[in-house]
Amino acid sequence: MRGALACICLLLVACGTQVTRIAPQEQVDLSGAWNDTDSRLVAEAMIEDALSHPWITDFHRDEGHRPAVILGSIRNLSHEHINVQAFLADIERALVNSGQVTFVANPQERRQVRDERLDQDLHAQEATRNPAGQELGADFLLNGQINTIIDANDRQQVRYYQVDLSMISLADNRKVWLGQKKIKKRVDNARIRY
Amino acid sequence: MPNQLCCCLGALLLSGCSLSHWGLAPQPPALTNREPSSSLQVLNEAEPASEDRLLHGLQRALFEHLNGHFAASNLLLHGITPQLSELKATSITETLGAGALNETLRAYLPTPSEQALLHQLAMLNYLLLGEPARARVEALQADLLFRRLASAGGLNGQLASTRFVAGLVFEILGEWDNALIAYRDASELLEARDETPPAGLTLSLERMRQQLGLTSPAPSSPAQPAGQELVVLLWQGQISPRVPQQLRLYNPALRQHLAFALPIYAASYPPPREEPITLGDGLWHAMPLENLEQRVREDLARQRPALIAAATSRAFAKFHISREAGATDEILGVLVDLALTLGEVADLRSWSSLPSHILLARIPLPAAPVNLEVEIGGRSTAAPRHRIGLLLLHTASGRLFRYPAIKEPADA
Repeated sequence: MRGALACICLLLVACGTQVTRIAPQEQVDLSGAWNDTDSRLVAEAMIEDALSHPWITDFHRDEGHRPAVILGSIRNLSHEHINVQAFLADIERALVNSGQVTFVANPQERRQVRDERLDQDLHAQEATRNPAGQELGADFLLNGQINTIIDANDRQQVRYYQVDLSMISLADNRKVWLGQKKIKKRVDNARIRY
Repeated sequence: MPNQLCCCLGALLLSGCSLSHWGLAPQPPALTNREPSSSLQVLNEAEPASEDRLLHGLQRALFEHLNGHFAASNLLLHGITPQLSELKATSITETLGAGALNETLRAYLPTPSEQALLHQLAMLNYLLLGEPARARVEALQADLLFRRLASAGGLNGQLASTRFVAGLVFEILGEWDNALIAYRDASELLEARDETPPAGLTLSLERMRQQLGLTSPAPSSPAQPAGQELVVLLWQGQISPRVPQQLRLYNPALRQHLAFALPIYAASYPPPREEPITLGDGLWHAMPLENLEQRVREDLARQRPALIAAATSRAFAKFHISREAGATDEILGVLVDLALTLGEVADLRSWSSLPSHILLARIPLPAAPVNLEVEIGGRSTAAPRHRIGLLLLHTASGRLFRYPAIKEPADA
């Protein structure tokens, strides 16, 4: 009798929505689509690659200061709605924290900052005002794209993602760094469900 | 003996579930009868059965779109897409339920044409939101769907209108080669169905050939490169609902019924009407691009052999269950027979808020930078002055949307 009651309780619990907190680094693949793990893998690979190439040291040697980078556009040319901002934020954070690169604000952020500066001109104490015309110009533009190739039949899919980033010198249009990360996944859809 | 009784009681319970579910099946109000906002409210307040949730989402997505809530519409559509691959797996419980009672106990899986329209609606939503790059993602997903459906054979679910909208997205993004391929696919689909490609599609194809240097325009050709052009898409009418086709036989000697119920579409439907478009002093016509009435009938015709086989095996299974119940107790037998016969209902679910037909026109705008009024289907608006502008008119509800958007509501 007690066993039956326990079984019923278990069944009732199984029917309800369950939420479990998991570590952000834990790999969970539900649908096979682009997810946080892919985003992290791409960001890690790109950061490691960008910091291990000589463009930073070359620039530092020639110019005597850290390169200033601006984030350009990352085109999502894939079959999925991918939030590219997530891994770009990771890349930006890691490059800035490495102490080897400076990032400058992108056009949208700049507009906000300039509005704030104008506001300071009117309302802030003179000693605390930040004057216009003192912005740091970028030395490099970081842009790129995400592409996918998908081969699928009714039950299986092979998803191939290729993320390409390039660092372009604003002085002479030279591409000083090309980063690439590939991810390939095989997705087998279930044939039977409950 | 107890097993037989359990079987009979189970049958009675299942039929009760089915009947209540049948009564609550989400049927949105006709587009022509009510304002889209009140229809949306009705849908939002409805609580669909779990097996109808996906269909309910599709209906809501269309009504959100009609209300100009394009982001909300796409949010619903994005919730549906991942469910599709899950629902393709065979469900044990649903198969048992459908085998024992009727097909409405299965989770609703959109037909191939409905799946293609899902992507088309998402593309249009993104265009109307001014996000062609995200519309491109939907265009690629639609292409993936078409390739998968084509591998199953024939023209199953291949929609020229979805191909065309994908081409339009590529053209807006300046991807002439992809646009050419999409327009050409749309044209070939129509030709494969012995339908005439509308002038707007032919012109679009010609434009892309010119862009890619594959042809040179004749001096007097209407396909001469133009600065700005207007694409007009019309979602005309509302698609016919599925109706039941029922057959009930009574054997007085055995006091038993044999019931079959299948969904069908009415044999005839309103044909597409070419819609006049007035632009300044000029008169143009939107011409048929997609006959959705025909496409959904083709979808159902493909499902029909499986539906007939299932209905036949179900009829015989019910016959035996009733006979077993009758052998146990005569009154129970009559009750079980009645319940199972009433429980045999046709699965009438479909994305019933879709249009009957999709029409297309592509109009070169005069070079002079004057403001032009477009009049179409009793609605008028300023023509979008853009390299490629889009007007989307839903004739049944009278809603008119435009890309690129203007600050004031387009239908004001």
